[in-house]
Amino acid sequence: MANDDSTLVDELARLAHLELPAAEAHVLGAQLETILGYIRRLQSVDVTDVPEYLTAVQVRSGLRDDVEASTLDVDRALAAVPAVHDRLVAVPKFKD
Amino acid sequence: MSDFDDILARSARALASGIRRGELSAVDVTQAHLEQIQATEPALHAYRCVTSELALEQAAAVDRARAAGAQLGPLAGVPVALKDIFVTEGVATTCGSAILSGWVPPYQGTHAQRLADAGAVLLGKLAMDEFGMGSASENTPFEPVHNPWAVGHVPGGSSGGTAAAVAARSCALGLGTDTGGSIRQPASLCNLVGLKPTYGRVSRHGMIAFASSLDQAGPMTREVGDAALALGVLAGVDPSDATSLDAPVPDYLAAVDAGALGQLAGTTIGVHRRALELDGLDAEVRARFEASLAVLADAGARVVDIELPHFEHAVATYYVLCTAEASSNLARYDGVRYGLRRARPSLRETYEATRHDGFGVEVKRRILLGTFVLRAESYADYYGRAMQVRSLIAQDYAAAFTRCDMIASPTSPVPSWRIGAKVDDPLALYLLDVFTIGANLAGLPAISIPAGFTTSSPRLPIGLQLIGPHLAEPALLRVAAAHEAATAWHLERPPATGAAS
Repeated sequence: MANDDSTLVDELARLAHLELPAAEAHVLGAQLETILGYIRRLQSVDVTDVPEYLTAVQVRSGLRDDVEASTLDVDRALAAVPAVHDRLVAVPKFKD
Repeated sequence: MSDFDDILARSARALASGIRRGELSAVDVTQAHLEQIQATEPALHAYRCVTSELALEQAAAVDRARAAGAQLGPLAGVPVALKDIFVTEGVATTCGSAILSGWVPPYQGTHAQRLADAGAVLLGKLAMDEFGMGSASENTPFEPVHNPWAVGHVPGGSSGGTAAAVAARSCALGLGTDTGGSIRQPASLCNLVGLKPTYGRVSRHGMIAFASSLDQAGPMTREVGDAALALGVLAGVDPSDATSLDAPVPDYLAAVDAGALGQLAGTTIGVHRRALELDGLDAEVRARFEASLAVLADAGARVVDIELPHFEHAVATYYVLCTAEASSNLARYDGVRYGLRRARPSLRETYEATRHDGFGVEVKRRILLGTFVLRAESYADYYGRAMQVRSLIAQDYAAAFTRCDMIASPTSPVPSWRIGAKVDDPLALYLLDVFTIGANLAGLPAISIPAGFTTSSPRLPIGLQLIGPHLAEPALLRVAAAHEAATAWHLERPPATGAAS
């Protein structure tokens, strides 16, 4: 990340929906640089013709039988929601 | 010894058997553990919440069922506690994070349900590193957990609350989760047995996700037989988790009983000697490892050298993949559907403020790193490459298992350290995962067992790790039981339990 730590960390924070004040961005940026320096050692591994790891051999079909089943009760699900309006999840305005 | 001391001295297996035979009442067993929680919690902070009322109701139900002649489950009356990563209907679940403070799940996870179906009594939820991210149980807005063997020291992590509670006898057995060593490392630092099953052996439904291709739940216990007992209850396919394995569940207790006879002739243990030359491997840990190998050899096991050519790349591979998966899994915590919300004028500001206030610094660090490796500009060089190296690491293990039945190593390169001593050096902490993360990357079962103590003061536990091929849990339990039968480390009692060893 070298000379533009804060720019990159700010960009990552924006992508991650994370408010990040300058002081925190500075500390995290320096730590990320150290960690990435270590991780970049992977570039030295010869991965020619090596497939990406796949656990598919273990995975059954993710599809359930097409039969009616009970689902979580709406009121119980809504009980944990921070803001509810007319039995709907309420959020701030996001479109003009 | 009082009746309660006698109860606390028993293994979970012995408690279950005593309750089944009518020698012990489940209510007395529960009461003894609730009193132990009261006695030890001020020093340890292992519990996030204690469900005393529920526990006593469940225990009374077990006693009534027994009196009525009903068939009892394999864990009937055994007091258990769960890492706070497990979803428990009606019982607050924080995952060690402020972002889930006050969340009371509206559904039951598979682990809590299977334990309840087996008759277990739920004592409460246990402290942990936030979202399972840490090696010391310090990464949390709540109190850090203290190690019962030396209360100024960490219990390991991320299942450190589970380790401290089981070691302190404030529950008979506990459940942890292991993404890169989070069951085995705290087990090692607290003189316990910690079993990470094969990926998919135990359901992940109701286990809050950190890195879904690596996460696995498992038992943490004082004796090998208790881990086998718990695994028998937890293992098996689950319609709610498509990655759970549809494979028969063997008799794990039979494997333990066979191992306890101490005969390991015909078993080959592999050792990757080059890994033992690692910088940072504590000399006492190395010495105890060699002593454990001698114990296994004395029981008839053959010890051979093996190679894991990509061993030194495992930590980097792991921290690319686990952070990538974490950045995706933790996107759901946005203040909208559950947990903390910081109300702001716009939706985006609400997301950003909620996540800033709700996540701790280690979680933020990993989200940012994961976001970096998944960016379009970085993906091939980081995430894609790490997935290729993961294949090479899995191939290394497969090749090694053509020469041996399991691989032995230290669990942690160091014993416990003082609380706060390593919080400012995340990379140094990541490097401590060096012996454990290979099993997660390759989806293999692994167990940590007590292997002795440091000779310096304070006297700190050291663990031995065994890694096996897919679904080799019976073989691991058999060898672990043979080691336990030949040693007495598991019988020692830590100072912070209110009684001498």
